[in-house]
Amino acid sequence: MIDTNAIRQDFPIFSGQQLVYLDNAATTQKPASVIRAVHDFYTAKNATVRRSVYPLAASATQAYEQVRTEVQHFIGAVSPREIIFTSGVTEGINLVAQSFLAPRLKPGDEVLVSMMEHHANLIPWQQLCRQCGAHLRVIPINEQGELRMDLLPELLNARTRMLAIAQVSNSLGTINPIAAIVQLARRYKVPVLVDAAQSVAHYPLDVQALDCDFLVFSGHKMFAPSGVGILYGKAAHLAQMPPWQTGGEMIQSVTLETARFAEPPARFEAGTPNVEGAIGLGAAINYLNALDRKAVAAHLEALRLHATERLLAIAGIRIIGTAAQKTAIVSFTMAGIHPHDAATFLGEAGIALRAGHHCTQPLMDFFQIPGTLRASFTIYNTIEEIDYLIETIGAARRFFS
Amino acid sequence: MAARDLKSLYKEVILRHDREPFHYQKMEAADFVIEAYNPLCGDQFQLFLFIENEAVKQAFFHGYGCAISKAATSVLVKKLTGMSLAKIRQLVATYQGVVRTGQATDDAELAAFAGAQQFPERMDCALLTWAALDDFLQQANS
Repeated sequence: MIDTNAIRQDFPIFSGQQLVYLDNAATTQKPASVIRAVHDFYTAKNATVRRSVYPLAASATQAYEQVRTEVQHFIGAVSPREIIFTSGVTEGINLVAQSFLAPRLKPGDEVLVSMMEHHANLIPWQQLCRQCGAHLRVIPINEQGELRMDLLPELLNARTRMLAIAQVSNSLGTINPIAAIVQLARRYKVPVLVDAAQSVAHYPLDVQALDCDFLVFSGHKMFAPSGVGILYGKAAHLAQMPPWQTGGEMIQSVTLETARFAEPPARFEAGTPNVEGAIGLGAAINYLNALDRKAVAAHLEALRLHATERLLAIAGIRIIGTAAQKTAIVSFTMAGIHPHDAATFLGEAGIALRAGHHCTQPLMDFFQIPGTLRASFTIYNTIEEIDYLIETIGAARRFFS
Repeated sequence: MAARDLKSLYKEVILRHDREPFHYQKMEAADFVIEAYNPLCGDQFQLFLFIENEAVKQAFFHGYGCAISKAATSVLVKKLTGMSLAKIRQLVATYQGVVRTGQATDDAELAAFAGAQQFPERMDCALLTWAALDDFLQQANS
């Protein structure tokens, strides 16, 4: 088991206030080591990267590139040249949509997503399909919130140009069988993009074992700062892709008439990057690497089981998303109490959790609900916090009845 | 963070309107159907207005929302009935002042929503259908 007491002490936000933070699928809190890394960079090491030769700039560049290598090892990529710094998942997906897919998408082609995608992994593809006259196809889900894998072979065909899918659903907690999905996609030579936003903090990633073509995640959901994220792409794909945004840093040579573009990854990192964000991301990876990640997964499973059991013991609570393979994200509705009223009540009791559609409106439509309350857990959450949540839900029911 | 009082947001009159909303039914035959929707939370209401001689003869509503937005709409529909459009414009302005700035009013049902002052993240709930009606009246004016 992991020592949650020790872990909580790593996170300064818990020392100054009574806070039961159950909104980790939205963003995680930051450990002191990450805060310190950003602080130290600005205090003593700040310079722009890959431009200047003075020692401060050289060491900033070295630190930035060092994080690229740490990310490579963290997700099992072949080379650091496959690691592109982005502002987060949204930018990573838009980059792949515009640079990789747009040039090869023709009228009548198809792009495949699932019913449970976050809007970030839906709208870039939807809009691109509209621009190109292509069709967006959707893998349905069952009532438990699991992908209809039985229908996937029929949805893949010779016109499918891309399959984009979340590894873990942010609304339901469903863990999707990515390796099996990639295997099926390979039969039709369909490239696969994996949205790892909800999985990266809790489960070891190995892009070579998954054999995915692209994978994206955000720093802020894995204890790193906001505004930094990663796009992994297989080197062979990246080599063929044109720049998405242009400007400084991504060129090899420039005249007034033309420009030759740098090789990946610099080709995809136009402008001054979020250097301190990358430094913070490196510190977050070090923090995660120091944890026993099997114990982390076991801890999450214990939290999920306890939360599920205690919630289901309350009359009028319905859990949305009951997949067999599920992470510690528990979405639920309460009969007679709107999610926002409940969230306001819980908030005043010091419990932070999200109410709403969680950027998955089509999914809410599928379950015919406008939104849910969502408790999403991570390494610093405890069984006692869940018991306090349950107790406070009881008080909310008395208040609103 | 200063402690906030939930009872100042969820006043008894608000909880009562949430539980027993006024004229809560669909009226497809209405002269005007006004849609109010908050994309952030998914709350959605329809106002059904029967208008005669520049006055609301009857008003109804239907939809889905939190206790605040539902009670605010219930109060709105109750006040509208029998009121001239000119009076309604004044009423909407008064209510928006109560919710946004805590403006004083003799009307206890409107005053109940001043609690949103302490909960700015819930202000949009209190204003949802009132703002939709405001837009409708402004369009009707132009």
